[in-house]
Amino acid sequence: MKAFVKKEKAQNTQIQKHGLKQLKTLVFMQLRDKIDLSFIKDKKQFFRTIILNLVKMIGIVAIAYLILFLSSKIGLFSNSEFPSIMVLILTISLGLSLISCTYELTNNLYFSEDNRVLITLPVDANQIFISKIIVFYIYELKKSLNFLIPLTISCLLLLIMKGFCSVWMLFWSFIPLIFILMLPVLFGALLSIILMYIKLFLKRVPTIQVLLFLVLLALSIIGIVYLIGLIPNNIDLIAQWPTISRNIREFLLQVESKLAIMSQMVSIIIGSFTQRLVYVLNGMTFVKLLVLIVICGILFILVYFISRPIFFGMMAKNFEINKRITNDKPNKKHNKYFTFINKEFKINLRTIHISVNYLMVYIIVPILILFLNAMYKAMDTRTLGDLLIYTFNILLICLPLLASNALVATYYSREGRTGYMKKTKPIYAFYPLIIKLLFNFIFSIPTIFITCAIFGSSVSFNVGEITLLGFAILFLHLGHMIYSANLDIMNPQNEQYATTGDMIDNPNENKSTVLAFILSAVYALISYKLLSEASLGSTDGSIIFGLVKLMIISIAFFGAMLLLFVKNIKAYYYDIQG
Amino acid sequence: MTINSSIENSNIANINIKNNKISTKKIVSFIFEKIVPYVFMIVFAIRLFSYQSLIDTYIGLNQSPISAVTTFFTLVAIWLQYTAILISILRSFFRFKVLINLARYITLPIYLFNLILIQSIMILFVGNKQISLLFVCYLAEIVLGIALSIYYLIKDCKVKTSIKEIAIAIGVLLLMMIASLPAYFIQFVFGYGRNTIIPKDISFYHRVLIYIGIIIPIILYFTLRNQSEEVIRFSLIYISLATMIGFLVNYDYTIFSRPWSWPFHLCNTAMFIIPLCLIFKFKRLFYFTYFINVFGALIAMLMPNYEDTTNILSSKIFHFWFNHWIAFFMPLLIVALKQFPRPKIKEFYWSMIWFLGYFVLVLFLNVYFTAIGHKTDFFFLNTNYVVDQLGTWAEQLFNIEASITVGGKILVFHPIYQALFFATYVALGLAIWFVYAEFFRIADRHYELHLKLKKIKQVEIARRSVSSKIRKEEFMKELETKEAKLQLIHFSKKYATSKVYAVEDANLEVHKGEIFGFLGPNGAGKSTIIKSIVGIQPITEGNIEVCEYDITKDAVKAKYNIGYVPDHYALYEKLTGREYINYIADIYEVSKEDRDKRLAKYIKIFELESSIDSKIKTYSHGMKQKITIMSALVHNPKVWILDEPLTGLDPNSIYQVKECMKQHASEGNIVFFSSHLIDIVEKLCGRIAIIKKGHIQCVKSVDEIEASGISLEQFYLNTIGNNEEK
Amino acid sequence: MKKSVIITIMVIYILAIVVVGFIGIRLKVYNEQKYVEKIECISDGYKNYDSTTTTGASKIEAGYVGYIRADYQTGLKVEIKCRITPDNATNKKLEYIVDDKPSIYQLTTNSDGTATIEFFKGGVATVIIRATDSKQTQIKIEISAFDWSIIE
Repeated sequence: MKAFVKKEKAQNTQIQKHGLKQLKTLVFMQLRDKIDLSFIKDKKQFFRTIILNLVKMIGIVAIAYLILFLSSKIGLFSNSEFPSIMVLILTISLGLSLISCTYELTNNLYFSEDNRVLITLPVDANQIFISKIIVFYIYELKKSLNFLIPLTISCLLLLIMKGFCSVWMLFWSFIPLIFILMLPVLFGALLSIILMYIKLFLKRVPTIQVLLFLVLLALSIIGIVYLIGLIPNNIDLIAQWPTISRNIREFLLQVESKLAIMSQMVSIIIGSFTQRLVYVLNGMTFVKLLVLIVICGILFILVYFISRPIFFGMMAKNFEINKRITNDKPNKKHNKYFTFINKEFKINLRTIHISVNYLMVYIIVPILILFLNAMYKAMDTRTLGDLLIYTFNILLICLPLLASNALVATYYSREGRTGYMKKTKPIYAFYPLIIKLLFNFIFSIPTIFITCAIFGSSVSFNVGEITLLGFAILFLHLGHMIYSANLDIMNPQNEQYATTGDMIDNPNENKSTVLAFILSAVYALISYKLLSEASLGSTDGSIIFGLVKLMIISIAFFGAMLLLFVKNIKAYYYDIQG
Repeated sequence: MTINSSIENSNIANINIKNNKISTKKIVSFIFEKIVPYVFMIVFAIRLFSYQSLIDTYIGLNQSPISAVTTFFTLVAIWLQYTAILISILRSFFRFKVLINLARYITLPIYLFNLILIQSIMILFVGNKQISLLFVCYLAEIVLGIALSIYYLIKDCKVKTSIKEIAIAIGVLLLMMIASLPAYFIQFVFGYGRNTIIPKDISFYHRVLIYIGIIIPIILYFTLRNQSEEVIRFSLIYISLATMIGFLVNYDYTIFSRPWSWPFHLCNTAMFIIPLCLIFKFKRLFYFTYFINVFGALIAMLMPNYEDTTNILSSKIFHFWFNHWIAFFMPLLIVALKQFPRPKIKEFYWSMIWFLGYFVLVLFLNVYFTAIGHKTDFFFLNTNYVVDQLGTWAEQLFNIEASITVGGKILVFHPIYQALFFATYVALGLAIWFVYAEFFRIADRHYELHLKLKKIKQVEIARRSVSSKIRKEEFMKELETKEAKLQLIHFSKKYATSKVYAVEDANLEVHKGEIFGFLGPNGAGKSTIIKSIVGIQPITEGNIEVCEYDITKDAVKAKYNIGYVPDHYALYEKLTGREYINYIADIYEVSKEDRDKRLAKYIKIFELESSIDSKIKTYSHGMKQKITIMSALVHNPKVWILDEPLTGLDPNSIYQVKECMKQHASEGNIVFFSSHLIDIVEKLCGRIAIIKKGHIQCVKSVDEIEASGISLEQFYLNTIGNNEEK
Repeated sequence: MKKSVIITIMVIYILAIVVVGFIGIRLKVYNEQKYVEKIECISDGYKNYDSTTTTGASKIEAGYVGYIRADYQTGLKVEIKCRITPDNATNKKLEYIVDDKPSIYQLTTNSDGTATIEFFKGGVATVIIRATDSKQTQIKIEISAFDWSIIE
């Protein structure tokens, strides 16, 4: 009997060992997907990556330390408010991690494609679940190396330098952090259930998805604009310094009182504040640590018992929406030229991820300029400052717009082999080629004019001047767009896109980006020169002259690029090997 | 006997006379073309330095010692003299139409004009009419000039010319006069004008002068780049020599005793180096100018070092700007016009070595001359002119001095400033090189484009689509009546990257109602031929005609008649099948009724009812192929071309496609396809062609082959196996 | 857009704010503040102490510069008006300091920078007139309301 029990025990331990080994394999397999672990193989690469990451971390620590040190020197906060800084950092970091974990866990646990592969493996389904959680946790650890850990180290360094705690605190702090970082993962796993149901619902009704996205976008824009509007004019930092620093200090004290839980966590990391004005680990700290571990344990059990069954349910489902058998749709005839516009429109609408990339630029640029000008209005500037404001505004309007044209330099190549068919059609290739640029052109017009209006209104340009500037930048943008398209025609990369679907280092993109930077810089310099004469001159109208000259330069550039484009198509397009 | 000998004697005498004539001719031409120009040059050089000039002290015609009208004409005569001398000298080295006319017709009156006004010229130059070295030299110039003109008049009398060409020569003369403008001319004739115009500090007039310095070379480039090598060389040499002379006019013989006033500034050296390098083709010296001088001239143009009181019409301004324009644009123009090749890194190193040499020389000259009491500042190394513009930090650097006492003279250096100057200059030179390289690359590309477009226009290819409505209706009618036909006439294709022909001398004719199969091993040229027919590849030699429309000359019309199914389906995956076919139908302008009918028919044949309205992304391989076939047939083309259409299809689909092909051919159209599946080709095709290594081995009908007793497969293997099968 | 491009643009953005913040700001002319150099009383009835007389010399030694002498009557109000040199001083505000004697007099500062002393009885008020900038130039004057009724 004993022998039997012993055998069973041995078997159990063997099964456990086997199970653990499988778990390890699973974890590594999925980890490789998330993080590039190829460097482990090659010794040289291994050391290089480690050293690079170490240097990066030290850099961040150094910069953070410097900022904190300077802030405390100028009296932004005193030593008693120090924990509140850490509370803030911890809150922000954990908050961001929570959001990203929830989102990614939703995708990874329930909607991931490799679930279907994993379920075929000879492993216990529990282990799959646990392995996923572990993978996420390790990924969280790695991400925290970039943000949370360096900042914590720098805060501790500051405390150590001021003599508020001992050096051993540095080593101690990692232990609570290990447990603190479990929290977003576990919370995320729980919250992901809710998110998953929401997602399922949205998938069934795709229009609500679009609506929701638009509503969220509008709300966030309004929110940001409102916040920017709160920045006051003409802040005199030096004169109002006592008020400002007082406000900041009050804010920090409030933070500590409102986020009590976070401050408790911070106290686990740095110990409690004793009578001797040092931070020291005492019994309370260990008790709090214990509480933390217990909470983690409870969460883990919750996750195990709640999320796991749902996970099993989802794993096997097929999420492709069943093909709806639609009725016979009618054939629509369009004009020969309009059909290209129609086709582009449909394709752009359906490859929304590329279009969204664009959309983001066109929405973010006005907001950035709004913020920039709010900051500038808060400063009381002299003549040189006003000129610099013009220059930097024009630079920062042109730069993102032109840099986004790098995508245009891949448009024709992105079609892959379909692009060759243009040459077989009985239509002169210039027309379909230029239609591809139409949507960029249309979307850029409102952005440019809105941005110019924002800029112009904060430096008190009148409507005519704003329009002139808008046209100037518009033509510059179009000229560069056509140049990028030109690059793509002369150096087509169709084959690369046809085989791999995407290209990592497209030379056309690089050239286009480089020229975008150079053009923006040169244009900003020219506008500096032209507008400086204008404002140094006597009459108000001279700003208009400067802007007119800018516009002439842009139109000349646009004209030259268009001419070159047309001529290149005529000379080379049909001859380039397709 | 005596008559014979006398005839012989007279013959010999004639030959002797002829020989003498020939040898006199040779001697005369040797004198006038080899010796006289050099004598001329020497006389001219002596004349330039032989007097102390008063002519640049007169401001305005009313200050002149002789009457205003005479003064004006005298000045013009002096101006023309410079031009004429250069023409006469250069004529002996160059020979083209305009120069020939200039040297014989135009220079003579100029010299005579000068001869008439020589006394006034003397008065303006030195203030008196006495016989001096200047007088003698000037007279000698005129005499030599007249002699040369008469010589050329006689020598080139056989060269015919027209009034138009003489007018062109006069026009060219006027242009040439711009380069040889004496610096004092404007101030003498017009005085100083309004005193308020000061071209400095990027004021409006300053900018105008800079723009001129950029626009003129661009104009020169565009006018000269299409001319012959000789004309380009002449123009460049003339410009550099004329401006060098204009530069030298400011100096006289006393300058030789004052070495601290010698023109050692960087841009001054350019005036000499450029003609020297152009004439004698010194490469390394030229690149020194190219890298160092151009940039220096640009900076000098932006920060001119004449005083604020210098009037815009004064000779100083002309002197300064001519000097710096030449130093700035001539090297660039010379390289742009390919007189010297584009420099590589080796040339850069050499020019840096030259620059070091120049730098050290100038440094010591500065220091030495300053030590003996004449404050010199060649290249701005010795004074604070440059640091003044930069700010106080630069001043502090400049004030760090080091002095050495040599033989009683104290030599003062500013080591840090000078070392930094050198280093910065070298670094900027390197940076500028990249800018040049980029600009030249762009210029070259544009020129290539320009040439290519010219060639295209010459070949008269109409690649525009049928635009006007009337022509369109005619064309549409034509489309329907034309018979289906596909012809390759001596078609050859060579890829740009290889030396071997991909397809050589292919001849083929396919008639209506035929299903034509195209066989051959991989890489034989099947895809090349097909891609050339449909227009994806250009043709190197020969013609391809589709329904009697040439594929290059009437590309659009030909393509209306073609339906192409490529070997890898090329579809827009995000569109639905129906949307895609409608899109293709729109391009071919298929009417609604036709496309409804055809779509319904093909959907039924290919059994695509349930998926025609789903996105192409969701289709299987066979379905995508079917959509491609449908899109190629929606406009009912007369020539249907397929490139390996049946690969990867299931048997049912293959059957459907074959039925389609048979149906299409039975309607009088051509079906032209390449395939590897010999069985299918055997059953489907009427005629086949076999291609191997770019050559069509044979064109036969399947029945013929089978009548001879072997299967198509065997025939094919035989043909591919050895070359000599019929 | 590529990550590197976005980061570069962000860096340029931050630089734009920082550069204008450092170079473009109008320097507050703390250095150019014009201090009040001299205060002179120009009230009616004001007289400078004469250093040649004994009284004048002793008063000047005690720090006074002048006096206003008025005859007391009920509701006597003496206005203290001052002239500031230089004229374009940055901060022209003056403060008037007296010992608190509420039974004898009451000093009120007016909105236009002058001050008024109201006397309830005969008495002497020592007024220190001081500039409120950092240099704090000041003068001391005596204002006496002589009540003749005491004598009679």
